[in-house]
Amino acid sequence: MRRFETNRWAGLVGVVLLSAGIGVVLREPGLVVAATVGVGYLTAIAVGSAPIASLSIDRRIDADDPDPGDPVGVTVAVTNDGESTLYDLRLVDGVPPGLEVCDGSPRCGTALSPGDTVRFSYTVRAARGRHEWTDVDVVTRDPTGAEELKRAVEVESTLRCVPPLGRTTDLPLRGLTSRYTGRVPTDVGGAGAEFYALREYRHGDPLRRVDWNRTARTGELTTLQLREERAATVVLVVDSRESAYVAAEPDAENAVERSVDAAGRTFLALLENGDRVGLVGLCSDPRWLPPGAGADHRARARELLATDPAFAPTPIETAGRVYVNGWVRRARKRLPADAQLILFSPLCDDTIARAARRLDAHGHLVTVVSPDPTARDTPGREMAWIERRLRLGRLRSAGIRVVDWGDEPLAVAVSRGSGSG
Amino acid sequence: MTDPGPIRRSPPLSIGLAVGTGGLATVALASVPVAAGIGAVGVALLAAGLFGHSRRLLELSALALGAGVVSGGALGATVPATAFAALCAIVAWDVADHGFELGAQIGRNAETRRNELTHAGGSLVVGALTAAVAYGTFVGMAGGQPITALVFLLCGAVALVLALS
Repeated sequence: MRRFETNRWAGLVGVVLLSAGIGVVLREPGLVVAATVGVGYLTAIAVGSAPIASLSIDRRIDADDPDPGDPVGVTVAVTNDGESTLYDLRLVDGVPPGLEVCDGSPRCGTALSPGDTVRFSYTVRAARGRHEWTDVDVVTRDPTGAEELKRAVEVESTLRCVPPLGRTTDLPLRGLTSRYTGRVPTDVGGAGAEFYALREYRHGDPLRRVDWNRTARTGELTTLQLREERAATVVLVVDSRESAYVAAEPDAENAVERSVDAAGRTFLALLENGDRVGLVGLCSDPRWLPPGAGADHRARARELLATDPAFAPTPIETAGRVYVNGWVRRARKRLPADAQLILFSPLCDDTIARAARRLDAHGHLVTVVSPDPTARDTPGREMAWIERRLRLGRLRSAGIRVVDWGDEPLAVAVSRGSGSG
Repeated sequence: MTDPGPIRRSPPLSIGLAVGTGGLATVALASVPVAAGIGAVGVALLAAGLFGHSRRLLELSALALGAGVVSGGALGATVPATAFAALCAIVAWDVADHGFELGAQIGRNAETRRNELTHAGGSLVVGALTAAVAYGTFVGMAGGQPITALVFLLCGAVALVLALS
């Protein structure tokens, strides 16, 4: 609670004294009467004090489970429970940082007699995540406005918006696979659909696999080997350090938003291909979703992507500093040995590029999907663009596949990237 | 994203009330053209300050309105005219400043009419009561005497000390 003088009447004393003084000197009673009017106000200022509002505040949110982009109405009802009239009451509802007010105003200025209720409403556009309203700022002033009292009243509400996972085109995986049958082509001959190699017949090979044409030509029994397709274990890593919350324009989607969206799509695509997929944020307090499969797993991922603070659409203020090296060390302990990684990051610093190379070097093949947050309209931005380009180039020359994702849909970026990857 | 903040413009109701009352103050001083002129400048500054959302213009308008009333009283406006002009000038500035602050804090796009009307009403009541008492006392003492003025000054000073304590 803060009480302070607004000083809005500063100078009135001077005018009153001047007016009275000139009135006396010139013997003009009008000026003295005028000065007295001013004195009336000065008395009111001295007597008045900003009341401590005793309010009951109720916030109502109209939607339970909106989709992203849906308008959601919010109504705040404020009742004066106290005994005194609030002549000047101003209310500012604290809209959660991830939500945008699209209609109306979360503010209200009014006067409330005891027992009276004021309602104001506004509309926010739902966005992915868990959004919490905590405070309503209440400002009261005395009738003359000379003194102001500011305090925050805690009123908690929550809006959860969990979008469904959308599917995108398959992100081609790299060669590291598990021993389970799946869809990633391997360099292992065996059962499959695609020709791999021929070898000498060994006892026990099925007769269907014998290459009779070749046997007829050479007189030796030859077995046809097919390329085995196996499932991969993939862990999706979303770079959600504060430095990853970057965008090319102030109102554009930031890189973390795009990364989370892409991670959700990739997650679903991989899961439907029979791969085992895990999920984690690169942040100070990551929650791991270990690689898995099945409908439950998908539901958990959907929930996590929508509501976990690591994937929040705006940076978490309370988050601590992220030590990337420590994160990599811990990740190596938790990652299954055959897991490959898909890292979603705008690649805005060298630390993350180094981490990708370290993980890759430790045998977890890394694919980087990098939403491009750079613009080129000023020399400084041009510089950042060049630096990111070079970083991408260095990663590619280290053998890491990088999908540079500009404004186009992810599928387009992937199909372009897979040609050169 | 998030709350875009208030639209930092003074609400129209306050602008109307302030300019209207300021205009009344100027009209009350019409018998002294110089004072009325200064008052009109004050009202113009007031309107400019509110429309342009400029604190500095608003403060200058207070100065001009005060100067208008004082010069009017000094150059021979009648007692009721001076008292009325003083009342209107103070109310005009009070309403204008209140609207300005409300615009900065709550914004023009929010609902503030009740707040504005209550404040303007309160301001008018305080001013009108004091003016009535002061003028009543002046008339009751068969005004125009220097002694009376001094008595008023004394009363004012006493109230002033009370106010400042």
